[in-house]
Amino acid sequence: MPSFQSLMAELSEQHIAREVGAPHDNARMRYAPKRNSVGSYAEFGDEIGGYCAYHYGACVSKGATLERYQAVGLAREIIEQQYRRRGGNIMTAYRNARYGLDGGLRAVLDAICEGLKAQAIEKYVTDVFDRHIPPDSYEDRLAVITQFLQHCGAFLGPTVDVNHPEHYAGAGQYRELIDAYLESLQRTAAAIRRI
Amino acid sequence: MAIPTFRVGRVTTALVLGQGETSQATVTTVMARARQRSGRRRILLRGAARFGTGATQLIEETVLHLVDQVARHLALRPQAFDLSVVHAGTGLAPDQSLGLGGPSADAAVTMAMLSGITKIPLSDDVAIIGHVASPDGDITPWPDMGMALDAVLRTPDIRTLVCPSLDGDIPNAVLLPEERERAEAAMASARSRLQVVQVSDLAQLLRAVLSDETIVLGSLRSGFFNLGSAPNLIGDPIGDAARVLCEGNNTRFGRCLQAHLFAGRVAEARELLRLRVEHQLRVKQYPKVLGQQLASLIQSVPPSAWTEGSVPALLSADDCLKLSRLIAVDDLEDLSRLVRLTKARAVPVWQRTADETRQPVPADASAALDLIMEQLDAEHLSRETGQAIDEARAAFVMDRVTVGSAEELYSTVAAFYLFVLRRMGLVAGGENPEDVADEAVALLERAFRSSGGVRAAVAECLVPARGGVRHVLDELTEQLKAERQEMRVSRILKTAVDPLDPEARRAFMVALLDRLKPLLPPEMLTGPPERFVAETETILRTVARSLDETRRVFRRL
Repeated sequence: MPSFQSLMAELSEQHIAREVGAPHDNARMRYAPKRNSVGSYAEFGDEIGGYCAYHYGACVSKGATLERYQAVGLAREIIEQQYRRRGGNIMTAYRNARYGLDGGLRAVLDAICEGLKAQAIEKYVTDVFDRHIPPDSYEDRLAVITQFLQHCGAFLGPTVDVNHPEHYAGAGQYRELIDAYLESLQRTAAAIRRI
Repeated sequence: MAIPTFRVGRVTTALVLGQGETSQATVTTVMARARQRSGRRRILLRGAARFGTGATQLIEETVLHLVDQVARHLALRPQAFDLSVVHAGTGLAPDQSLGLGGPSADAAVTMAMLSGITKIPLSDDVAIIGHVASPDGDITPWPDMGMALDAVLRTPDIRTLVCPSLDGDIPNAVLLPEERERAEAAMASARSRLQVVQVSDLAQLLRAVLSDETIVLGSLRSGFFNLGSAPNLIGDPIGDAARVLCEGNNTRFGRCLQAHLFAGRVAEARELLRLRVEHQLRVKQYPKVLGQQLASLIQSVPPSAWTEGSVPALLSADDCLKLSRLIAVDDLEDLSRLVRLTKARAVPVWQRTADETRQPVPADASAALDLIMEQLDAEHLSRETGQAIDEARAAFVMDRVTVGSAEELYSTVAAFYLFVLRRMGLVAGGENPEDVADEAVALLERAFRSSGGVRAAVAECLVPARGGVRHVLDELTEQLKAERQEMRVSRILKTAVDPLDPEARRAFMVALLDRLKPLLPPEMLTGPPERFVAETETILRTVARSLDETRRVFRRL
């Protein structure tokens, strides 16, 4: 079983950014759309699908491609999610791309990149927890989670009960910790850098 | 996925062979080799290619006429063509011929012949089907189109399908209802797997199939690079097609060169420049301001793109010497910039030039208010001040999002800033890039003022946590947009309000209060409007902002 130190090392913000985030950022940085606006909704579909297929091939499937309908579908799903967080939806993204507003098509492609990156980080963090938290011993699980909460509890937000690690030590019950940790990554990133 | 291959005179298409129930469609490659005219026959079929009944006439009278017309507009000599078809993999017996005469092949044959004569390479992952229905280049569906679409769909490695449009009245006239239904069903399947572009004439076909790079390569090799726009071509369908090939080639050339340099493809950039020089020597014309364009382009390339650590020589001394024989006195300075490109370094020069034109303010207060509100509209402001910056950010690509040192980040930021200014047309020539670099670093400081300053930006790029250089450039973009927008808003308000005398200011405030009357509490409207005059600017900004926010909410719904 890997050590608690290795759990923390693999969950560190810098490690995640370097190992998981950087390939996504590099892929986005290399991609330039022909124009920063689209002429129609059909063209919007082609552009987001084209980018999503490229990004997916570059960072997720490492070469294997998506069918066009899969790529467009995935892109729409991610855009919908990302824009909903900002109080918009896919039509906001389309209008922005159509009229070159709020960053135009560039910002829409950025949203797809951020969505795919967030998915990758989530999968990575889940895998790190799964590998470090023993599946077959409640005592061992409790020990790791107790250490984790002592170490990171302050960053995890008010929904996590740091004083009762046993709440999270049941089989598969540490999902809440993963979600809280993912949120804290976003929240504390800027602050940590300023220190 | 296979990497597409680009070749001159070769087009992937679907041929429908046979008739009636025994007919079948197969995907193959049509090839057209252009050659000097000799004898009367201008079309010769080679290999397995065969014309169907009446097809010779169709190709010679319609397709060849079309190709000749486009060639004439491009000042190219009419040529003869050898047509053939790739037979392998079609599922036919070796002695079976492939008919090039059916309507399915018209558009592909036209495109192959145009490619042959213009030397524009075509990608083999694009399939073209369609019937050329008139000497003006109208492209229409034909009864077996659904079968051809199905064949394309069965073929791996095709990423784009260019086919006749099924919109409008023409498909109804040429297709039976069941034929149209089959074509529409096949088109719907195709859309889920491929990028489908529907076209109805030759100009649209060319736009769908050709990229900037392929047009530039073809035009440089064939000699129509410098033809430029020809107003007499507007409205003429074949002229429209020719304009796709000959208009804006200098801009296309710049974009292609930029793409190669940004991606670190120095050899490709050199080859493009070599072709350009060859072309200029052939037409005996010095390429006006090429040196200036290249100098500013090179300065705006991110440092990380120069993989050898320095800006390599992009032009051979021999080519430069040959170009020097074409210069006029006015071109001397430009030539000196080209000479610098023959060595492994570049000394670009920069200078800000004035921009922006001013609109007079109407005398009438209500009209003035309308004009101001229109100018303060967020979409209007975004179009006026933000779009060019966003376009520039979208086009600025880099290979990685980390830097090795703070100095490398400053150079990258300076390159980006210069790139944006160049795209916005705000730099032309000059001698001191350091001034602009200082501005760029100051912009970086402002962009990160509330999030740790330049130190945080450097840290982010050394050890990325939020996207590294990508994040920094995005922040710079937003800062630059916000600053330019603020400058524009201030100018609009200052131009509109400052010059007004007290009476005019009062009239202006009356007009504004009148506009806001239904929204304001009554006690606000009873007092004299003069009490608000000092705050005119604040009120206008607030009203514009709230209107934008309201519009934004409604658009989401």
